[in-house]
Amino acid sequence: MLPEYYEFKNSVKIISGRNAIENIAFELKNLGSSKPLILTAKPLEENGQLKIATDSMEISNIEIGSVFMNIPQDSSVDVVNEIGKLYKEKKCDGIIAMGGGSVIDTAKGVNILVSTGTDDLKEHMGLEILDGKLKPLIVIPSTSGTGSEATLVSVISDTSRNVKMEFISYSILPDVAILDPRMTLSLPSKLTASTGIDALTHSVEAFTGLQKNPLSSVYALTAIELIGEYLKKSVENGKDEEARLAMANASLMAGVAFSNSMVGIVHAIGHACGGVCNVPHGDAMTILLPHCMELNLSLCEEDYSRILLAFSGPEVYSETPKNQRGQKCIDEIQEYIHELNKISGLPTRLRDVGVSKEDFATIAKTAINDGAAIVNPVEVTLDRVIEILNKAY
Amino acid sequence: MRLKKIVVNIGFKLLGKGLVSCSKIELAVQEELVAFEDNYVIELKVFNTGTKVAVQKIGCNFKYLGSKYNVIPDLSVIFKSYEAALLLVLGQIGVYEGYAQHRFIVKGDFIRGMSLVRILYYVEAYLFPKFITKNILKEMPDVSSTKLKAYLRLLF
Repeated sequence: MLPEYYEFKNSVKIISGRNAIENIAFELKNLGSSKPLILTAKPLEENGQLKIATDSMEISNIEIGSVFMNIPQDSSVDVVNEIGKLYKEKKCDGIIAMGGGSVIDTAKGVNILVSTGTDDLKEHMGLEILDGKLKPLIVIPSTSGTGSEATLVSVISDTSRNVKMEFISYSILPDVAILDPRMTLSLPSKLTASTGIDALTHSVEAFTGLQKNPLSSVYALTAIELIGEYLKKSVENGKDEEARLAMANASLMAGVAFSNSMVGIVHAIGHACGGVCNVPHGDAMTILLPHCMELNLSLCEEDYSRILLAFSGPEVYSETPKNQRGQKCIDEIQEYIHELNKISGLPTRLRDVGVSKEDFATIAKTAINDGAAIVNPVEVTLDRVIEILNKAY
Repeated sequence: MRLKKIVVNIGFKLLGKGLVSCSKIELAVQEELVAFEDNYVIELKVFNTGTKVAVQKIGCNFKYLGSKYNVIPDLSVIFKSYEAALLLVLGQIGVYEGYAQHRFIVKGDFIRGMSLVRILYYVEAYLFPKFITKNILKEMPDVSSTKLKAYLRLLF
């Protein structure tokens, strides 16, 4: 059914497949960049992925402005400022982000800084505030979960004021996303599992949220199909290139979906667990997803039924009576998470990831102030968050 | 367009006064306001027009600044057009739907924006009749006062 009104944008050029990284020089040239700044992480240098990109640029006579690797787990405004200075000093004309969510978010922050010429990122904080074209940005994700390579969101911590600044604007969307199976082959099984569930959560929340639209739903359902088929394979055998590439695509598609439909209560509580108790994002998603789906079930029966078909396939779907498909969907996802737990040690309870009951009140208060709460089907209240935390404990 | 502009201007005035009224009678709104710094200014406006209204947090309440103010707002909710603003002020869509439909942009800290969203739920619950609120609110918030008090505060 069509919503009364919706907006959708995905302007990211997607390059997916074997030897995709080697096209980077061509893509830079297409974007008019001849001296990019590379943001990445040490493991990608050690595992050789960075060299694939830099070799390709050298062969095509593209000068690398600089390579910056000291990016913290949570993107911070200090690091963004430091990299912005480097960008200007080296007279760069584009950015390459090769890494996980924090590297990509940092790159988006740097892009806002160097493109707008601002001294204070805070000026651009908000929803759809930024306009105009930013500097060329190419993203090569090294995990399959955040979907940041295809989203309009960047979260940067302002450590001096102890706040997380949210930037949500279409201008932030990267120009190119390169998905290459070599980027994730060395990812440990537990991280593969948790980032995969993050992508599943993006898809589920994008497909059931109040901002969903026909286009975001297509991306979400296709991502769910891919995750249902390939996540376990990539956890069991990290060297399975087909599974790795499928998960990279699923993550990107989930990113496109939630970039145009938002996420919901799982992310609202998950972000709060991360902020208050340092729970890794993927672990929080894994633990909270089934409980939050239970909360939304009464309003999402039909949507969950369609997710069941995409996630578990036509046999499970047709064997399940119509009025039980919503619950069956939650049960299937819960069961899938337990299997991933057996294979990779993925945590399934909040008590196992450093959350104590004394933290619940602070987590709940933080969660209801998260932007993700606004389009969740069921109103996100303090009592409901506490109830979910207790169930997930 | 002239009529739409007039209606939005009146609607904004009512919303601004509604924020002040609810901040004086509703405990939940007062609790939300504790988190805001004193003198924090919230503005509602229509993109690229002079149609706007602002309120300022003073103590546990809002103070009405009207449409002629010289302070830079801390949080600005900017409707993309008069038509977008009309949908909200006439109660055809609620705040969360307005957000979901990209009817407005938000300049400023989104965490404060979420508090404002919840405060606006109360304003909608107090000011709009039930046949409208059942369509524009996900659920009716528990209110600590009466519609009559809200209307009286709005007028006087």
